[in-house]
Amino acid sequence: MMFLLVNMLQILPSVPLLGIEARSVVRLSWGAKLYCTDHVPELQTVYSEQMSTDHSADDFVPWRQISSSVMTSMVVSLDILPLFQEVLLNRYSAWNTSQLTTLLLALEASHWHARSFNENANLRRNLHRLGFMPFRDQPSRWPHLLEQEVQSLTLILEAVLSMYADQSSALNSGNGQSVSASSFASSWISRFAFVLFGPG
Amino acid sequence: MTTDEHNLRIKGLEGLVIVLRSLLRSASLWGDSKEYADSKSMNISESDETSIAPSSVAGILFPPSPALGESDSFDAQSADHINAVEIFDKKQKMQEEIETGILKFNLNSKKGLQYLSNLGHIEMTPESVALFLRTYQDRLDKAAVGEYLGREREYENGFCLKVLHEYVELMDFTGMAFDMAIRYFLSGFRLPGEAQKIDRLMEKFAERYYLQNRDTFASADMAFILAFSTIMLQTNLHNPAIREDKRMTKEQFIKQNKGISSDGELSDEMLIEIYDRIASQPIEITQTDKFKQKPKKEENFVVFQPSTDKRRKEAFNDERKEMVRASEAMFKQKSARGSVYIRNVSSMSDEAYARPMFDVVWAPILGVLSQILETSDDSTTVDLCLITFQYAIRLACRLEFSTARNTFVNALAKFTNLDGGREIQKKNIDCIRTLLDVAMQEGDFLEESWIQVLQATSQLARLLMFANGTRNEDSFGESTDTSGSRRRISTFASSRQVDRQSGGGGLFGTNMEKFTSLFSGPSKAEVLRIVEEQNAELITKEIDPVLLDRIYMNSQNLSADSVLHFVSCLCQVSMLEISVGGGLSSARNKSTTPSEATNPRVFSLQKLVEVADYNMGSRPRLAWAKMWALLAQHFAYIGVHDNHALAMCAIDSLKQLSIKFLQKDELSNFNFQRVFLKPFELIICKTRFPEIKDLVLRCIDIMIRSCAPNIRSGWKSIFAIFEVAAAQDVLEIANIAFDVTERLMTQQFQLLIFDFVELMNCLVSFVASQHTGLSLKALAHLARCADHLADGSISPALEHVDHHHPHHHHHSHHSHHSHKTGDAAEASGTKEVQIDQDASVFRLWWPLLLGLATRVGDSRLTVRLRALETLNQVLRNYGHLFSPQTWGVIFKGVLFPMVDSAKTDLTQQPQSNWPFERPSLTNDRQSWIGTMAAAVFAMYLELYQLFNAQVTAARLLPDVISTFEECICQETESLSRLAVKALSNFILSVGFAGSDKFQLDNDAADLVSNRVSKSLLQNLCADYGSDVGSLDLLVDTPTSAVELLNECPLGRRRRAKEGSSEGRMSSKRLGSTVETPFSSGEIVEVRNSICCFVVD
Repeated sequence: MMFLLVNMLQILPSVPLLGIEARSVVRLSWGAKLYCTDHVPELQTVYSEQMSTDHSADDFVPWRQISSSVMTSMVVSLDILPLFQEVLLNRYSAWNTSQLTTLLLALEASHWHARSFNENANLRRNLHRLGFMPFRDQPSRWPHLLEQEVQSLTLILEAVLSMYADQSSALNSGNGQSVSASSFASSWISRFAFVLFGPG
Repeated sequence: MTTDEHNLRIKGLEGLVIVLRSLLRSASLWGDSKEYADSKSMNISESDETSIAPSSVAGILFPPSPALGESDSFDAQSADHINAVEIFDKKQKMQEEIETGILKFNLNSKKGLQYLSNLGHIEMTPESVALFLRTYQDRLDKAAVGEYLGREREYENGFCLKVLHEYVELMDFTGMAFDMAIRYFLSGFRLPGEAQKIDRLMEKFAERYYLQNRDTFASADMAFILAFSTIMLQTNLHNPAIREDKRMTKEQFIKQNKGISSDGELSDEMLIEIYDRIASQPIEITQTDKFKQKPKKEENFVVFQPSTDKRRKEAFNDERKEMVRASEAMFKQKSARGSVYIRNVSSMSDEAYARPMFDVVWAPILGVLSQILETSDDSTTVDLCLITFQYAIRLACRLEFSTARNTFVNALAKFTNLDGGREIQKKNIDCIRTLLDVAMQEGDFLEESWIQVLQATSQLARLLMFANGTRNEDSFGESTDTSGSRRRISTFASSRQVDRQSGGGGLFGTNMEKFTSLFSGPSKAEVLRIVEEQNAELITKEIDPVLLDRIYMNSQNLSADSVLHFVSCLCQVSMLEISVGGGLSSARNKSTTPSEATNPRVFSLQKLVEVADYNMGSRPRLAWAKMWALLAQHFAYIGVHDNHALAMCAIDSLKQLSIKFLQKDELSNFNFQRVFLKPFELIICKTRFPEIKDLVLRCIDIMIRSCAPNIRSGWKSIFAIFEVAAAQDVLEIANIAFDVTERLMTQQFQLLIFDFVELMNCLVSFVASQHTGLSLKALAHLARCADHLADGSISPALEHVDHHHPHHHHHSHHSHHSHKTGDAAEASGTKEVQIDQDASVFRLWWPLLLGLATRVGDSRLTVRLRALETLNQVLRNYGHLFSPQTWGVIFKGVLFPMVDSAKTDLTQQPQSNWPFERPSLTNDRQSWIGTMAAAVFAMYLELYQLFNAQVTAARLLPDVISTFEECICQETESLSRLAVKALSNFILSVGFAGSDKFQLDNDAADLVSNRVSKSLLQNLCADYGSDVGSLDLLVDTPTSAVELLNECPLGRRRRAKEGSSEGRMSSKRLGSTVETPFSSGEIVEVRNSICCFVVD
């Protein structure tokens, strides 16, 4: 638990974690928004000009075009989860730790993605207004990614817990040494405990 | 007058003949020109060339050849002669340069002199320049010379003044009367206008005159003043601007010159003499050179213009007398010098002399001949002219004067009068004979002049046909001659006969009105037709058709190069015949109806076929190939002509020639047959008539039936033709081609093994044809081809291919062997050998596999299913023959591209409404995704598993996964879902093969885990467009997840347009770019609220 926190502090030395006044909203280049204080360093002017011209050059993409590809991506990201299930759940011993980490992180990202989506009432309302993801039985229901959120987290927990419970297998750590499956799993469990229940 | 003139003409022509003959002899071309005389079958009487009897044509035709001894002695002298030629050339060059210098001098004296001194013709010394000005005074612009000599003292450091001094030094005034001396002085230049310049010039003159005639003047000053005074007198007396009563009298002049100097007195007599002479004959200070002569000439011309015959005759006689006198004088001079010179010339036999001489004389000779031929009807004159023509053409040909040759042949052809509706007379007949003779004699040298000859023969042939009453026999299309118009014409013709008898014949124009009144306006074309008819009669009487044929027959005796000229000219003529129709003059064409204009003649085309036939056997193949290239182009052009009958005729003759050609054996690895059949290919490609295509195919069928065993490289062309046929939408055409192919495959397969690649390409084209029945049959044949390839019956083809690269040869046996062992990958041998044999094996497999793969994208379900099935079968059955490298190429080049068809699948695909809806696939038979994608993906997996050893060695795993990935990460949902399923299947069956243990090595595991993760991440969407907004990550999203999401491409798909309302009410930092741990971003909003986490 503490390990994770320290780790994060190391990664983000300039960003205070809690209880700090947020002053600005920063739109990140990949689309997400960041709420932050004034501590964030400003980029050089030249770069900023370049950025702004890039912005203006971006073409507006109409919703009709976006919606079908968005739905395809949602379908795929849900459809591909069984594959993760297959390769992780009973066959985790086939992978070394870094490969497992890659797969688990992807699942985690999928989970956070779906979770952020589901929490974002504004976005979902907008989507609903545009008729995205119309549920045949409940037309008034907003679009959601509940299956994705749940399935991905379930998958992670199932995999991690079954690894934790597996006292016999050892995992290849990638650099020639081996780590027991349960010790690899325990770091993930503590991480998710933090994520799900908050520090402490 | 007429007899005199006639005799003179004859004499002149004889002279020309002698000139040309001696040129011929000097160019060592005389010996073999005896044929001329023989062909003319004239009586030859030996006669001395210096004494020719009047109008003895025969006599001059054949002069005594130079004695052998003389020609022997010539060798010794040859060096001298060549030297003389060099000197001549040099002199000519110098003259040209000086000519240029003079021109330059006239424009700018300084530059002209500079130019000449640069070339070394003068030195830049006063002496040299003065001499130049003096020597060429007649050619130089006198005003320019005057200006130059009168230059002020300072100019060019006084150089001009020095030149002036030297110039005057060159003159000798001793004993001359004063005014005569002035005249002499001024003969070389014109006095400039400026007084100072005149001053300087006259001063120098006076000094010189004084020095040479001391007794006339007491001092140079006196001479100077008198000179000035004389010039003024000249101006006074002869300037038209001065009124008569103001002109100076003799007394005034004497008075003026009294006491001009203190040194002495001038005598009155002398002054009076000067006055008289100036008064009677003004000093010529105006220019008399060629610059001023021009207007004078024009004046003469103007006099001639309205001249009556009488005056012209007088002028002519005067001219002639003048010429006679001049030549007499010249001959006297010549004879005084002795005959050494003449003999020298006659004993020459060096081409070097002949060239420059002929260069000088040919154009005037042509002028004379044309003039005489045009006007004269006298047979002796015409004969002489034609002999001269023959000689001249011979010289031009042999000495390679292409312009002269073209001009002469052109002129001669023109005088045949064959090219249009003009009347042909006796002399024209002679011209025709001469032209035919020339063609026979000079065939090897005529080059592009052949076109004139062949055009003439073409016309000749037309007239001969015409005479036989079958005007349209050699042309296609409906004749527009109705019997009515024929009758009218015959009446018309007879009336013209009457006219002729009554002496009114000759020009049509004069009698035109009469005809018009007779026949309510016979068209101009009809009038012309009458001429044609009469011409035709005359021609039939006079010209033996055998002569005509001989020209074409003789083509096989031409040299390899000249036959090319011959053929290309004949093609051009044939083209003309076809495009112009009857080939008459433009006058006729204007009046003909369009339908008539499209009646093409095929005389030259027929002749082309004959020529090809003559030459096919007699020429080496290489020469023949060059010739055929020309012919092929022509046949191909005609084969696609709009006129059906014509095109069919061309194809038919092509077929005849082809069968003849194919009956000759061809060794392997030559391309002659292929080149030969090329026109068929071009025709079937270009023509838009199904009938023509049908005909081409039937011709090919006949060829194959009659000489299939002889066909070697021809198969390539044949299959190319079938490929075109396969693409036709008319079933019958495609059927013919397919039937032939099928027959060949079942009955004569052994013949095709050398051109297996072409055969397969052809079959693939049949699969692609729009006739499904043929497609399916062709697929079956392709499967059989694969069997043949695999069982080694095509191995001779391998060796055949290897023939091109002899160093590969010994590998082929090895490769064959390794195939039999069934494991090419493990065959012993170096890697290089492996690759080499793969290349040769694969060259044969490639078109088959690629063709099948392409047809998997066919628009017809049955065809594409069958194609996929065939491909799958072939690969499963014979995949063990391929090495890892080959498998790599098969996967990347044949199998993966198959899914590209999904991108062009435009059918409606099912789309989920929500992520877990999972609608079933479309059942549209048109949809490639719905019908094929799953099978194709399954095939990848199946082949990957079946040939695991080779495929793993080829490291195809990343490529296979990438292919799936590409299908996953695109917008069509149904394809994505199929690909996800396929990827899952693939990883589970290849990676785990049903067990819990991963079957692949660590690198592969890395790859798989990375790619699978990526497939998931790439489909997480953070950005939903500006209408909706973007996904804001939750505050507690762990950094690792943020980083991963950061990379997901759908987050970057689009950025919202800036400038929303919330952005405007912000602080100064709004819009600035900041760097955050989660990549750079832009501040879009400033809030005062409190948040608990940095990342929202």
